[in-house]
Amino acid sequence: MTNSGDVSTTGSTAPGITANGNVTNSGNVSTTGSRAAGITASGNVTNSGDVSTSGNAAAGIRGVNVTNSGDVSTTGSTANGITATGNATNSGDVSTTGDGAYAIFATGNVSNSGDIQVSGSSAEGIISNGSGGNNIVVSGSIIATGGATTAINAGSGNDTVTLNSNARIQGIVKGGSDSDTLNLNQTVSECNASALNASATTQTGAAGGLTVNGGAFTWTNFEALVAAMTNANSCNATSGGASSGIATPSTSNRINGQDVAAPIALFCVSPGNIAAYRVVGNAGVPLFAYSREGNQVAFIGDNFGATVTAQGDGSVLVTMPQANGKLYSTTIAATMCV
Amino acid sequence: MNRKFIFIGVALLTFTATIPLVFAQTCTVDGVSTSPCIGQDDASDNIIITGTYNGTVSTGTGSDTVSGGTVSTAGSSAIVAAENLTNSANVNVSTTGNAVSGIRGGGNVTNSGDVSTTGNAAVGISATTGNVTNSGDVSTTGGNALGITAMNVTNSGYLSTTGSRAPASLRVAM
Repeated sequence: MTNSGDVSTTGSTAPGITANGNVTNSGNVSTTGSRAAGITASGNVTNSGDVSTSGNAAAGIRGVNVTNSGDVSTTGSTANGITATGNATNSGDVSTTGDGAYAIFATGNVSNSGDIQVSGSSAEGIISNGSGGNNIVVSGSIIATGGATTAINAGSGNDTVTLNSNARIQGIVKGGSDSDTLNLNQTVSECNASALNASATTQTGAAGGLTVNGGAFTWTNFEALVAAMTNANSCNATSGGASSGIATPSTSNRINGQDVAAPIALFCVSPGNIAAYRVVGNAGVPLFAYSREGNQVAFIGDNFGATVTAQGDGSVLVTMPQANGKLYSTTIAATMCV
Repeated sequence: MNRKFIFIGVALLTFTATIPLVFAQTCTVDGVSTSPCIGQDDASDNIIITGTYNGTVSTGTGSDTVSGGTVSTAGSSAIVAAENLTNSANVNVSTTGNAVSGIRGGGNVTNSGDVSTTGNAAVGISATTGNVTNSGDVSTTGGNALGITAMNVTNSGYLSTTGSRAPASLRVAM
């Protein structure tokens, strides 16, 4: 079935669209009665329209595999936004306000890059309730407010929950029963990925929490925790801060003087500022300037393989290109050059 | 001048006298005025409704076309096609007893007219053995009513149902 028109029903048990097969919908669908689903199909549903229901037990979309890019909203109790007996892929906005109303209820895998909101008592953002090993991948937002406290529930089975970049979670991430894995794969704009990874690995999957990019993740009931966060490219920016030239240092202010063969010489040049020079023969060629204020890095042209990363403890990690068959790096403590 | 004035007056009188005939309910099948409105069992019929036709339009077999004004019935289906149907006429149906349809096709149905039904268990467009392509507005008022039911549906029109247990505004036949 293919629908692009608007569909509305008023009355109980009056779904907007019912199909014994697949449904492709781009129209707007609204129902007002109890048990009146917006779209219900025995096959797959691909929806890009807006779907709204206001009755109890009136799901927005119900199908086997559901791919949704539209806005789905329900207000009744136990009225799930999307119910998939297979997999659910969502890039739209899905909201439920009723008690016990899941935004996405799936038996299989769930991928969400859209915005999800739930607020009813015992409501949950995403639940993958199949007994098999399912994957839940999130790069959008899941906000559980009001009576809702669970953002993600992996349910039974050996499941994997992956929180990618742009994932914003308010509410608990639950691993559920069996053996579950939580992957933290965010790109960190705060330039403290190493510290965050270190912090995460000191915690257990059984219960823990972490604040990334200003948002708090809280989890329970995971048997494995994989922290693989990386810094955003802006942390190693080649622009910003000083745009040309760097201050002339005093050789007595050399930071990494102990690494005489290091290909880059680091200097404190003024409070809060660091200068770096490539070592070319007996000369130094300006490489970058770094300001602690705002963690600004300004490379003078090519970075020649060097990276500069602010750490969560206030230190600055400078990695250097290979020289003499060795890799050099220097950690500038938070107490230096201040 | 007097002769011309008399001529125009006669013409106006003639025109006035034909007005009731123009707006009366009529059904033509391939250009032939037909009552009741029943098509032929041939390859195709071109059925044209003028004004509001009160009664069922049966197209017979073949791939038939209904167009024109409005088909209105009480207690019976408005347009019944044995096979494929293309309809652009508006359809009004009120049910008083058993479930009836605004349009019931024996094959595929292509509809661009507006269809409304009032009454329980009515169906706006039914093609239980074929497909429906609809771009008209379909509305039903009554319990257990259906907007469109077919083997497959492509819809771009506005569909609405008002009534409890109206199984769907749009349903692919089970």
